[in-house]
Amino acid sequence: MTQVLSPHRLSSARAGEQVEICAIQTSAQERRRLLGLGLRPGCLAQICQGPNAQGAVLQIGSVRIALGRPWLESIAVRRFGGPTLKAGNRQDD
Amino acid sequence: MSHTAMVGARGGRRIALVGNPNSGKTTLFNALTGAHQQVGNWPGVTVERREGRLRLDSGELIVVDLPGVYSLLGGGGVDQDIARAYVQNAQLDGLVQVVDVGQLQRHLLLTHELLHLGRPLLLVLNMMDEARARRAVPDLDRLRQRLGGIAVLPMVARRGEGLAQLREALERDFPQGGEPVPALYPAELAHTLAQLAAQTPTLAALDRLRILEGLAPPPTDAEPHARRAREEIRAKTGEDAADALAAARFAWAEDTARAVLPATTASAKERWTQRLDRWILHPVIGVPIFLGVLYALLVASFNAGAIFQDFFEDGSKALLVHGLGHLLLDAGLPDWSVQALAGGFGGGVSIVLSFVPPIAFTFLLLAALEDSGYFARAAFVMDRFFRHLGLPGTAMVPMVIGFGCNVPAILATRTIEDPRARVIAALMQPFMSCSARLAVYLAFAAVFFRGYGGQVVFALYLTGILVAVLTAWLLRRGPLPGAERPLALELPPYRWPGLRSVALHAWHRLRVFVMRVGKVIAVLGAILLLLPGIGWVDGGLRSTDMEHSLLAQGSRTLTVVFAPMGIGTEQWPAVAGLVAGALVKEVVIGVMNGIYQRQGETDLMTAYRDPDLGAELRAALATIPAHGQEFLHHLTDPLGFTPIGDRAASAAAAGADEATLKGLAAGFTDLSAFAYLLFVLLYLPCASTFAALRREIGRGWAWFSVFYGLATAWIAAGSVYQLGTFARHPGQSLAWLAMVLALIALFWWQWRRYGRRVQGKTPSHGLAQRP
Repeated sequence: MTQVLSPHRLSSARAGEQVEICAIQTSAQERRRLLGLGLRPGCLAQICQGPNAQGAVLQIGSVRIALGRPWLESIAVRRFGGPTLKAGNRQDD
Repeated sequence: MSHTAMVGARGGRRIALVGNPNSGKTTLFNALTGAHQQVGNWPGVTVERREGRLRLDSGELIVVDLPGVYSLLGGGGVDQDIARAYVQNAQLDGLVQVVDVGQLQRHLLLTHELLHLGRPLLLVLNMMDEARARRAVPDLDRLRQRLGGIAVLPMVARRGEGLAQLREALERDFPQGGEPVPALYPAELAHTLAQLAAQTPTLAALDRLRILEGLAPPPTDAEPHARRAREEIRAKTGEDAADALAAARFAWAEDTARAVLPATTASAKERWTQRLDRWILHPVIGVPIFLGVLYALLVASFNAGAIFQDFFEDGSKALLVHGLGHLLLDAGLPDWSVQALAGGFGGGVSIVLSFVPPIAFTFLLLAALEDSGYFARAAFVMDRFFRHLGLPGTAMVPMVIGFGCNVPAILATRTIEDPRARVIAALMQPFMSCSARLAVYLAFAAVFFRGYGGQVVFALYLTGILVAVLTAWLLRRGPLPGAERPLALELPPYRWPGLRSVALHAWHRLRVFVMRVGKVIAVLGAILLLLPGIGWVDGGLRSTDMEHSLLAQGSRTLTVVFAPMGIGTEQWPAVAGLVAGALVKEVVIGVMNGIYQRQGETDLMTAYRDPDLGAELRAALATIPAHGQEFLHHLTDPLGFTPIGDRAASAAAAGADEATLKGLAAGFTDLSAFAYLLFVLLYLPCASTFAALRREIGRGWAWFSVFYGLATAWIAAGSVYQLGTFARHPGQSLAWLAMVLALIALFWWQWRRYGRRVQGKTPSHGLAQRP
C-alpha cells in the first residue's frame, strides 16, 4: 500500500518514486511543448534518474523524457511513498 | 467527420510525411524516394526541406518529408512551425502519418489533431519488428475502425518491410472507409465546440482549438464567442479550457491505444535502454562518456578522411588544374586567363573536393549517432554546462567537430532547436582551431617554439575555445538575448542505425555542401588565385611573376595594418598568406611557400604545358594505402600534435619546406610569430566556413562573423605584441592599449544599448523560479 503525499515541487521527489503531475507553471507555448511529450497535469510518471544538477528523467508510459534543471522548480507533483522501480534501476542524485 | 476525396491531377500528386520526431519519417522517406531527392531549405529559414519523387504505375508522386512535429497546435522550434503550416495550408493530395508503434498512445495525439483537418490521411505503423519482439502488435482492423476506416499499414521502414503495400496504397486515392469517426471529444465538450464552429465558420477547427487554449488571439468578431465557450467549458468540467481539451485528447489516445494493444510488460530492449541510461545519463560518468564518444567521432572522421584526402586533392588537381590548364593552353587562350580558369576556378573546385572525405565521414558518423538515439542523451548530459552560455547541451557536438573542420561543425548546429542558440553556436565555430590552422601552427612551431611547441599550440586551441565562449556570452548580452529554453526532450530507445538510411542521409548533406559551398569557393578561388599571377605592368594588367603581382603590391600596402603586431613591409609574404588564407586556411602556409621559393606563375605554366596526368593520378592513388597505414597511429593523436618538437616532421606536416622556414626565421621574432598565429586563429572564417555560415544562419550573420573575427584578431594579436614589447616603446604601447580600451568601451556601450532594446521584445520561457 503506498502513501499519497501532498503536492511538492519535482525537485523534492526521489529517483525510483512514482509521482502524479499536478501542475506546470510556465507559458502556454512551453506547456504545449511538454504536452507534446505526454507530460500533463494528471498523468503518472516514474522518476528514472535525478532529480539532480542535470535535471530529471521521467518515464511516462513507455516514453522516457529528459527535463533540464529549470523544470524541477516549476512542476508540482504528488508523490507516492516508496520506490516502485527495481533497485537496479535506481539512480541516486 | 468525413474525409474529402483526393484531388489533383494524377501526374502531379503531392503527399507529405508527417509525424512526431523519432518516428522514422526520414527513414521511410529515404526508403520511398531513394536517390530521387532534393534537399534544400524551407523559405526564409534554415530548416532542411526534403522533397522526393516516387515513380508509381499511376504516375509520379511528390513526397515531402516534413520536420518532426509533436502537435499541430503549437510548441517546439521553427521546424515544428513549418510542419504545422505546411500540413494545414499546402496544396496536398494526402497526408501520411508515420507512427512509432512502440509509442502508439502518444503518437495518436497527433492523429487526433490530424483528423480535425479533414484531409485524406493514411497511417503507417513503423517499427513493427520491435512491437513483435515486445508482443505488443496492435489490432490493425480495430485501429482502422477507431480512426474512421482510414488505411493503417504496418511497416519496418529500416528494412523496407511493408514498403510494397505502402506503394500499392499510394497508387490510388487514400481509401475512404466510410465508417463514422468516433467522437473525438466527450459529449459536453463536443457540444461547445460544435456551437463555436457554427458561430465562427470561417475559422479552421485547429485555429478554434488554439484560441480556446490561449495559444493564439481570437479575431475581434470571434472573441465574444470564444470567451463564452471557455466559460462554458470551465463550468462543465471545472478546468481551464486548455487543460480540459488536452485531457480529452489524452483520454481519447489512451482509450484508443488500450482498445487495440495487448497488455505487455517491459521488453528486453526497454530493459537495455534503462540499463544503458544508468551510465550514459549519469551526472558524473555521463560527461566523460560523451567526451569519449565525440573523441571517437573526431578521430574516426578526420583520420579516416585523411586516408582519402590527398587522393581527392592530388587527383582533382591533376585533372582540374593541370589537365584543364593544358587543354586551355592548347586552345590558344592567353596565359592570364588559363591561370584564372585552371589555377583559380579549377583550383577552387579542387580545394572543395579535398574536403569531401573528412566531411563525408563526419556526416556518416553523425547520421549514425543521430539514428542510434545517443544525441538526445548527450544533449541532456551537457545541458547544465552550456545553459550558462545560453546554449543547449547539443552545442558541444559542433564545437568538437570544429577541431577537424569548421564547415561540418556549422552544419551540425542544425541539431539545436532554439534558433537564437543555433545562431550563437554557429558563430562560435570559426574560432575552433581546425586542421587547416594546425598546418600553420606546425610551420611556426618548427622555427620559433621548438622546445615548447606543444604548449604553444595547445594555448592557441584553448584561446580559440575561450574566444568562442566569450562570443556566446557577448551575443547573449547583445543582439541575441533571452533566457535559454529549458531542456525537455524525448529519449528514444537505443537502436542500431540503418545502413541505407545513414548513407542516404550523409550523401544528401554532402551533396548540398559540395554544390552550395563549391560555388562560392570556386569564384573566390578564381579571384584569389588570379592575384598572385597578374600585376599592373607597363600600364596594363599582365601575367607577371609573384614579386610584381597584384598580391605582392596589395600585401605590401596592407602591412601597415599589421604593424601593431610587429609585421613590417619586408614580411609581406606573411600578409599575402593571410589574404589568400581567406580562401582556405591551409593556403596561408602554401602561399608563403610559393613566395619564399620564388615559385608561382612560371612553374604553374610549365605544369600546364607538359602535364604528366598518368603519373600524377598514380601518385594520388598511391597516397591511399600510405595514409591507410598511418590511420592506426593517428588514433592516439587525433589533432596531429606528434610532429611538434621535431623540425623536419613539423615542416613536413605543415607542407612547408626549408626555404619557407628560413624565410620565417628571418622575418619574425618569437613574439611576433605568436601574435601572427593568434591572428591566423581568429581573423576570418575561411571561404567554405563563410559559405556555410551564410547558408545556415544568413548573410548578415556571416558578414558579422567576418568583421567581428577581424576586429578580435587585430586587437588580440596587436595587444599581445604591444604588451610583450612594452619595455622597448612604452609610449607607443600605452597609446595602443588606450585606443583598444576606448574601442572596447565604445563597442560595449553600443552593444548593451542594442541588447536592452532587443531584450524588451524577447519573450521569456515563463518558468517559475526557485523562491
